[in-house]
Amino acid sequence: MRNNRKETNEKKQKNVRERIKSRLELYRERIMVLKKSHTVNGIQSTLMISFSALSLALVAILGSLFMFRFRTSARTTALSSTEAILQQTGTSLDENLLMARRISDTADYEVLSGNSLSDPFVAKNLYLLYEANKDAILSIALYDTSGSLLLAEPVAKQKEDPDVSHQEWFQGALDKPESFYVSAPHVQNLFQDDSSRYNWTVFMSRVIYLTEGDRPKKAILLVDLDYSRLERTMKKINENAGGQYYYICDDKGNLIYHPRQMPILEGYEKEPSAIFAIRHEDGSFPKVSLKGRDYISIRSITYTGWKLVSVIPGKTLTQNMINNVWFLFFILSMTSATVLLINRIAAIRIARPILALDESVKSIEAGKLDGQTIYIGGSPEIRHLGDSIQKSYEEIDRLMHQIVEEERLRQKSEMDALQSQINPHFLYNTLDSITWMIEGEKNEEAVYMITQLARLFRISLSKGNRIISIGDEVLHAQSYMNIQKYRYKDRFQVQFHLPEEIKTYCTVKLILQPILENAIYYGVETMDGDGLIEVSGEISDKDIYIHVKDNGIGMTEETVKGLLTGGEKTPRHGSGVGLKNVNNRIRLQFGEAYGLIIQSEPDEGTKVTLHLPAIPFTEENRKRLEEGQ
Amino acid sequence: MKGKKGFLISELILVGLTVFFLAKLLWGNSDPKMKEVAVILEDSENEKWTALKGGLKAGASEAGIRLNFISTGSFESAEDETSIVKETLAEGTNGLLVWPLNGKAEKEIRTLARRTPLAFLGNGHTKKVRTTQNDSRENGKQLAGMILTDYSSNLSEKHLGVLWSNPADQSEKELFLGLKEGLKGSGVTFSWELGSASDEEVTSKISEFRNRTEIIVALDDRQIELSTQMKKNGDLNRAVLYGFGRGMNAVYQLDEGNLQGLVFPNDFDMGYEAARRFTGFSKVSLLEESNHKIPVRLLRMRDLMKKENQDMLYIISHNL
Repeated sequence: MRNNRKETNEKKQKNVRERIKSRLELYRERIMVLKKSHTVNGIQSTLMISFSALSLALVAILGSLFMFRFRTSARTTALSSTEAILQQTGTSLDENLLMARRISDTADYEVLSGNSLSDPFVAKNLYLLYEANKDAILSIALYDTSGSLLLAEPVAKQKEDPDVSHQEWFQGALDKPESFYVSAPHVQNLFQDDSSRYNWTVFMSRVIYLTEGDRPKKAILLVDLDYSRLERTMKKINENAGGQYYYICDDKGNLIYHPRQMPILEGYEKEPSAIFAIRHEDGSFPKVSLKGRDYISIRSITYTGWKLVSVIPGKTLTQNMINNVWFLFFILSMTSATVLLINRIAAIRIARPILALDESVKSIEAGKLDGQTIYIGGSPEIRHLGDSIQKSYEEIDRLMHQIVEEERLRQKSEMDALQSQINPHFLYNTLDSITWMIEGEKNEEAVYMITQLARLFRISLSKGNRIISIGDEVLHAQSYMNIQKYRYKDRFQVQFHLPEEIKTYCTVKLILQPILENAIYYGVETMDGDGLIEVSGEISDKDIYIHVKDNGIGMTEETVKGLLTGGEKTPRHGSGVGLKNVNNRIRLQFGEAYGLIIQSEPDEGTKVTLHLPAIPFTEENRKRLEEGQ
Repeated sequence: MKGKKGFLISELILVGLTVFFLAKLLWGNSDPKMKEVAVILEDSENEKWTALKGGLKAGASEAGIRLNFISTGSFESAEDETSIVKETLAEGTNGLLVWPLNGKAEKEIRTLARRTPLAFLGNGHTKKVRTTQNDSRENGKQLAGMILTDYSSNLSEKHLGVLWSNPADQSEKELFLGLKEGLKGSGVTFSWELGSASDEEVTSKISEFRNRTEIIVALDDRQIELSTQMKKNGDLNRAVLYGFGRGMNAVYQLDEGNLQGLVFPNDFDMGYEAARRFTGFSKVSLLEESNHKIPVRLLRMRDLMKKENQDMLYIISHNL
């Protein structure tokens, strides 16, 4: 039971292991497929991706730089513009205040000083002073130190119990007798207004000394500035300021003018930058708030301690830049799209000839050779490449044809040589001779003939080998000559003088016999017993020379020339394998440097020399030569 | 093929982005058309609405809406008001802010504007459309309180006359009722009251009763103007004026000593709150209960120029 359970567990574990293994194999295959599918394909893709990546990176970097530069520039421009407006407005406000000061000075030094208040000169000139400046001021008034009105221009009914002496401007002037006191804007509550309206005003007050009797009398000179002038100036710069706005606060942060003054007074809104402004000198400063980074520009107003403040909320700067941001993004995306398209076109144009060249090479490699040529086009370099490849393929084609042709020739030559061995005439005649020998009971001669014939055929076949030893080739030739001698009843002699050493070298088979055959038929056949055929040989350096010399009728020079170049027509006599065949086979096997050399003189004889390389006959060399190496 | 597909997708994305950014450039940053709210007030050009209009404009800026103040004259009846509302709706508006004359006007306006975001100013009469209002009944009591303070709560043998402009105006009715409630038990006699009377009628009435009238209460700016003029002319004898007003003239009369006391509602606050209700044009915000009380100042001449009243004076003396 326990064993069964153990076996079951082992089986289960094995199953699990096998499942895991097969699953892993599956994943591996999928990864390989994925890898292959994600391999970057081809020169075109590489070109396009690299061009595009580079271009887009450049576009992105330039765009970022422009954006950064633009933001900085936009902010700087906004701040410069703001500071210019502040400067201009501040100067205008300064001038207004300066003008009020001048009016006060004129009233003091030119009108009141040294003159009695009852003097008509005072009233007249005060009137003239007011008239000359009534665009900027509401009134000029003079109070004594108890708050009683001494003089006023324009003449107006004083309000009932204005309680002047407790008013801030009055106390302020008395507290600082050497300087001017400038009040915060407030409702004018000294004089009645027939239009039943409340005018807002800024009081500029100062202590002056009147000439009344012997002692100078202290008084408070009041110039009532029209607040609406300041209001108009501020409204003008706040118009069309977008999200930016300008306001004025005093040195305690109280608002003098604000475009949102009413909701601020009612507590609905606040101006948090006022405290910031009073703590900073003139200039522009960033101010970080919960809503972002605002920019505060400050300019002090002279005489008053007031601050003219500009606030550029961060979102306003951003908002103003939005259009430019969209424009920049538009340019970037358009540039990117254009660059991508151009890169694509360029990549295609560059890669197309290469791809076409590649396709044509692939076609040729696949063996589609019919009428196929290499693509030649594109840039000069690609054209040159295509041209070179085309020439290479043509050369290869030619060489292949040449090899095929040589092989065909070789085979034909072998076939021809082989065929010569089973020439019916030669065989018939030889067998006929053997028959006669047997019939004539010349058995020994018959045996000899048959033996020679057998040896002839054995060496002809040589187990199908093309390369044999020179020794075998000589044996073959000897066998042939022995048969022929008997048939020709010793009409000629043959001698073999070959060093033993030479017999251990390689040769193409069936090269001696055709030469001897020719020597018989074209040399000594007609000679009556005087014919002599000598076969000799020598080794010289790396070459072997085998000579077949006869003392036959010889040939003319012309005939000699035609022997190796003429057509492969079957000679009148013999096996039909000519000297050309032998020469071709030697050259096909060993090279153009080797072959037959024919020398002949008419009536003198003919000498045919076989020139072969000295390659020792070994099984290895034989195989090498047969394989064409 | 894969390369071509990738190129096409990338190119399409970039072209799409280009078109998008171009659209943003051309149309994206144009200020979205602000919604418009029509404001209907009786006698719209009267200066008494200065503070209210100031508050409405400030609140509209906060709410991101535009206001269209419909030009109107006096409303003799609810029909005068509702016909203006009909015309306004016919011309087209995104929202409506109305100071209804009375309950009848309010009901009819609610029916007419059932498809338009609607809010009321002034006294509200239904709970369905919330109103940003000052409590006129309470204001009347506060006015009574001022009188009681001046007379140490002893008004026995005092005769009081009431001037009001429009009996159809619910706010004035409520003021009157509040005044009566506030003076109950003080011993004062309500000798006469004039409403919707012509200036000549008012002058004649006052002239008739001035010897027997110690206190005159004007319940709106027009009556304040009329009565203070008479006082300046010396036509009121020893009668003392009190008033409920919203405009700068009422304050000025107080300042000149022609009014003894003035109940002055913070209309800026009312306008601001009412306009802000239209933020987002959410029906919820227009319908939700408001606990916001419109503050009221009880003004005396001696306190008028104090610092705490400067903001009020600023608001009523400035048109935005």
